[in-house]
Amino acid sequence: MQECKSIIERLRIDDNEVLREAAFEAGEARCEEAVPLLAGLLQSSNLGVQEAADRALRSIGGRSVIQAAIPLLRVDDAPARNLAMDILRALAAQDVASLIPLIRDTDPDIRIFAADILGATDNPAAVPVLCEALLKDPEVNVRYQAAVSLGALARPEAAPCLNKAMEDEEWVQYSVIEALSKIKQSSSVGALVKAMSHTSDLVTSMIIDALGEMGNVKAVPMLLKRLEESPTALRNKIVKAVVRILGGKSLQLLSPDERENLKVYMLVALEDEDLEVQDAAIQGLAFAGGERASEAVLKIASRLDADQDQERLQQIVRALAQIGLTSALRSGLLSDNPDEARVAVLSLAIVDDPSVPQVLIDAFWKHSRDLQRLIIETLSKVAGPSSKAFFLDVLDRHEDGKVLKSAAYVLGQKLHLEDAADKLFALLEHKYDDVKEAGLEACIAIGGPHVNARFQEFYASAEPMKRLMAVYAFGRMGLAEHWESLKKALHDEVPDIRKVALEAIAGMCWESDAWLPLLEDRLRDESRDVRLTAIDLMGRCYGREVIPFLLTALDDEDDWVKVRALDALGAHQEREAVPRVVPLLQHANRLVVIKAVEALGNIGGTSAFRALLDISTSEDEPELQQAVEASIAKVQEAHEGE
Amino acid sequence: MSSLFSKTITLGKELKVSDAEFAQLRDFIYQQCGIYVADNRKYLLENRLANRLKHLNLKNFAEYYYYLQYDAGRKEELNRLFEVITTNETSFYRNPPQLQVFQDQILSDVLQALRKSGQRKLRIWSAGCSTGEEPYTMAMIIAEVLKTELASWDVRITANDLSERVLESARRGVYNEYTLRTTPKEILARYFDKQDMFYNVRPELKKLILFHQINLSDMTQVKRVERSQIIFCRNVIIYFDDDMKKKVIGSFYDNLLPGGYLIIGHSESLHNISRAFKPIHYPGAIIYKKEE
Repeated sequence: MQECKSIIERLRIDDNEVLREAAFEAGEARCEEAVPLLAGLLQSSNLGVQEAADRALRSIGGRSVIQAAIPLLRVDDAPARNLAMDILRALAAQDVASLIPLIRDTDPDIRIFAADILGATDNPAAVPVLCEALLKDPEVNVRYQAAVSLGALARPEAAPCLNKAMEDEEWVQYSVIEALSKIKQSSSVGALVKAMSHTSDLVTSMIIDALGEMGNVKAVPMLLKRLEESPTALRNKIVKAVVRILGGKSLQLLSPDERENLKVYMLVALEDEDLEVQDAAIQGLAFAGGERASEAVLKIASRLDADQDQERLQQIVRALAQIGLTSALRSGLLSDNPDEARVAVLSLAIVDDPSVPQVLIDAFWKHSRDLQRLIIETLSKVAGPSSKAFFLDVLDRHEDGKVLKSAAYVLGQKLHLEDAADKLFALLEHKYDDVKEAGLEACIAIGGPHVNARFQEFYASAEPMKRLMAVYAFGRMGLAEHWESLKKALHDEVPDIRKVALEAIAGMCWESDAWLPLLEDRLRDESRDVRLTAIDLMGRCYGREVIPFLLTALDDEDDWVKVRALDALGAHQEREAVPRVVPLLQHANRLVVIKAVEALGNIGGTSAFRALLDISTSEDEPELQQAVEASIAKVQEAHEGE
Repeated sequence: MSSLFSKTITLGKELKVSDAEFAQLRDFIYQQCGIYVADNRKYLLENRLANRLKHLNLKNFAEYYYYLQYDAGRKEELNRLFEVITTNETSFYRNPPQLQVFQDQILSDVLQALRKSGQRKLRIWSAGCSTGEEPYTMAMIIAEVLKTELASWDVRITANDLSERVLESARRGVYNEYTLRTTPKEILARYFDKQDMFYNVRPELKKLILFHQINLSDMTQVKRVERSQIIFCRNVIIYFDDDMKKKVIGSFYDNLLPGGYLIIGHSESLHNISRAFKPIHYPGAIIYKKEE
């Protein structure tokens, strides 16, 4: 209250900077007593002050702001009037009763404003008064605005009065049609169709759009009937409306004659300037099919911008794929226009036809690098064993990393081709890591004695990267066979190799006699990342025997090692750990505290519960507070379930 | 080195941000710097941060969130996060038509008014200056316009960014040919010293600019910026949601001296953000003016 008083005092000072600041503060403090002064400031000549008053009034809101803004609708100052309109639109729902009488005002401008504002109320009480204005107001702009607002409210009970208003003059019809298309009432289809017998071309075109928008099947026979007699522009709109209503698939339900007729018109509609018409025709042609359709749709796609028209392009690609492997698509793939060829590749990628891989292979070397990348990426999904010569050839001849990665994937993971192993090993010395990794995965997938021998050479290498790859591969290719090598790798001078070796032996964790001593050693590793990995693996391969190690890790100098140990002990509900976890609730690092809280919540039991109740949290630590609450609830829930 | 492997046992198959983790990170980022990461940038955030998680040996984005809150290295990591979420794409003499309007209309009007009032004190604020290309461009334009008169003027360009790392680079003032591709040759010769493959901004130009870190969502920091005649804030507010845009633009209005100018990116607009400025339409640029 005191704050409002001081704000109001400053709102009376004739200094724009003070006024602006005070107005903002009035809004922040929701200072209702300041509303009259703020409303007055909407007429300030200073835009900064006006803006601040506007924001403040919106933020205060409620009946008092609406009451203060209504008189401003009558002022001559246009910017202030516009601001008042905006505010009333934004707040209209908060006091509809004060706004309704304005629609019967003697001033037609006020009635227009009121019709507009009532459209923003989202309140059914506005419908009857707007209907009354729509059908009875002598001023055409009020009737127009009433229809716009009924559309904005989009309530079905407005449909009868809007249907009736289709008999009004053309200017009103525009907004009525738009409103009806938003309301989508079945009863309005008949009214719109009936009106078409006497409306102008422009209104007829709007009605056709609206019928398409409303999606009511009842409109289809009538629209098809009008196809023949309509000029091209209207015909294209009808095509759009019919496809919209039926969707591509249901076009099959039309009679053969109707379908053939529509297909001809859909091809014509592809040339329409309106993209929505084009898209509807494409959608229809995807089901109607045929060479001409494929060629025409591909031409449209090749003119699109791959970045800006992404969504549209994807739809067209799907449509082309649905039409199938046509001659148009084959020649498009070989086109000198890279955009056309690109669309052809994208479409072929999803065409269901066994000859697609060979068609793509035949085109591969004719294209530039970017298209080759796309073709081989597609081939990596659709090609089978018969394409192996092509991929081997690519490994020999190509230098691009992405192309090589796709070839490696097919030869390794898909075909497991032993003959390709040496060529794939060459990729392990490639300058880019991602190519190395692709080569490595492919070699591992092939496996066998030869690959194994090659990795043994890597293992003995002085180059850390080669040793790293060998250790990784050994872990993936069979632990028993490489057990001794991996054990040795746990002592490699390079921490990353020790870490990868640890991960590699994770598969042996069920043989704890062999596995645990190796891990135990690494818990004392100088590298924090290695220790972290060791603890993480113990958590994943949990058993009684790892508990002492996890408990020891709670004293590790690195907090993240503690966190991993807490996670593991919590996940396995290790009650034995509670006495060691509880002291961590006092840890200086809040992360450790939160993780200890979570662990106790997961473990449950009386001691954990008591410890959780004893934690004091403050409001400025919402994370901790939330963790404590959640953990207490968890323990209680578990207890009730027991 | 083990970053060679995109999938390992301890890092899981792939680092994906869940909806809950994304919401948590998004709110955190918003609180920290006012930048709103829209839903459609979720995968961008995921891709860009995946390497950070790997580097920090964190298993998921929830752990990364904790790291940002509690780890000893959080401050440094926050700066890296800021770098990830802002693109920092810039160059010298970016958007020439706008700069032409700045040079021929705005700057000359401001200088004339200052001369008339006998105050030779020019203050410009480059908010979101990235690696310094924009404030150095301003400085060069001012030097070109004032020529020998420059020495008798008190000129200061306050240049801020959210990322300390880009500011370090801005303070160094060393650029390659690519960023200078749109810089006129004679300007290059006048204001840079070439050293091997690089160009160093000359000290007389550097001294016109004061670089320091600012978080535009922190109104107390913003209020400390000296009031200016001109503010440049190009391609920065795109990162904010409407509320934050309104706040930031409001603080620019308050910072500007009466009659001051706000210049935002050529594809940006104050529509639905602020009505306090008067938009002035020039060929190739809209400039926003605070009333006298």
